[in-house]
Amino acid sequence: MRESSDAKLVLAIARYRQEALAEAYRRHGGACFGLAQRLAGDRSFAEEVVQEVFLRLWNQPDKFDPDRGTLRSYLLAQTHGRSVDLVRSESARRRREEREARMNAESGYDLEREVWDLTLAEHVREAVSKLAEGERAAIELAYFGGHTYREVARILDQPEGTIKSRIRSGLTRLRSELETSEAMGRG
Amino acid sequence: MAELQREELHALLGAYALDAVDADERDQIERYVETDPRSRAEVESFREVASMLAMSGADAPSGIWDRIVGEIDGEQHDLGSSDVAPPLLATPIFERKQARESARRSVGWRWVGVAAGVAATLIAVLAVQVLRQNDRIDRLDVATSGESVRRGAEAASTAPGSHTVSLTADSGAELASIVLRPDGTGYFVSKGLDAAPAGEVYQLWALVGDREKPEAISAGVLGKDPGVAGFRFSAPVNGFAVTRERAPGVISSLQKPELTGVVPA
Repeated sequence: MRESSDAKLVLAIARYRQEALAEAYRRHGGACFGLAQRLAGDRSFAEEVVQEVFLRLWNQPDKFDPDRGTLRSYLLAQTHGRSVDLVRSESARRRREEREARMNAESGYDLEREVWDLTLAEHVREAVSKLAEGERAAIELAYFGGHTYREVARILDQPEGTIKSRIRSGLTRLRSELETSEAMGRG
Repeated sequence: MAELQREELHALLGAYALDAVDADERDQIERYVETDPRSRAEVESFREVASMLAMSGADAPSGIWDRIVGEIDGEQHDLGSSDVAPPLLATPIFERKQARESARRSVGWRWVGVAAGVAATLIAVLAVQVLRQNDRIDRLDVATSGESVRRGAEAASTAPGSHTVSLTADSGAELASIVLRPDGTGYFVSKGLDAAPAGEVYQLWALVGDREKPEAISAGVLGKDPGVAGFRFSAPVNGFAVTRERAPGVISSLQKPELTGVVPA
């Protein structure tokens, strides 16, 4: 099972092979949990999101289309979307504001510190380092902060159009750098 | 909110990929990317990039896995032993509490047309909803090759109460058959089915439910050049179909069946 491709793994999940779901969890559960916890700043919240994401994979494996991307990308997108939905709810917003206040007092965001994978971290760090500061801040606040581009515009005191452009150009630049380093599609 | 123009939608693709748009914008962008393959590909590539930013070397917490297992009611159900059962049937299959309790879920794809040459009921099927294993067939698995499978198929073909279903191509040629035992064991037996082209495999589907509008459930991947395969079922099956799919097989399919066969009522 450890050697199985994403497609094989999900096919096995569709056939109720629990060991296949366990392998998907082994591969990607840590990243999903880290992302959810980063967005919410709350362990129990992150656990709830990750549980929901993997149960969804179990119940609806057909939602994953290997032609559209990797299983990692799919699961992290699910995790991110669900986390953001919850974070944007009023009760969670209060928690986040308290957390942000604490974090700002301690260290603030640092995109590079989010990248831990031992084999790919260097490529990703290098790609991130090539972003313009404005691109980096916009992506960081949107992705790890869970903010909409409008909120990011207010936080950075920039026009909304500028933030839209910076997010898109930053992602395009990251993609290009990661493709050049052949890091895309790995992991 | 006013309808966004194409340029505006395009400008928002990056923010959309990061879930950084408002709900009404998200709805519009979702509709847009579904109709524009290039935009969809761009969003997918952005999500791939974002996923790399989120990678972590940390292990997944084991406590969450325990809760997931608890939720899916991961109680193993031994299919039991049988002297004719294919070897893979001993592999634990996990029955799902939710599957028993909830309504069947369509996986959202259809076969457009089922091969002619079989009973009128199947010919009439123009859109077959394909489902995953559910409360009606909750123990369906396939085992291919192996001497014990071959022996099981031979024994089944002459066992009292067994019956055989011909699987025919559009031309009417019988290229395979299914032998069904009353104990819920079934065997697929090829009769000259050509090997699948490179990169493709054959996949077996069971047709269940309403005979006028049967539902199909994946019964397993038969491989590139199937000979004999065994499977088990625990609910009435009305027919079978075999499709050719991209390896390693699919959860859902849009392929027209290569072979079909009807189980007599």
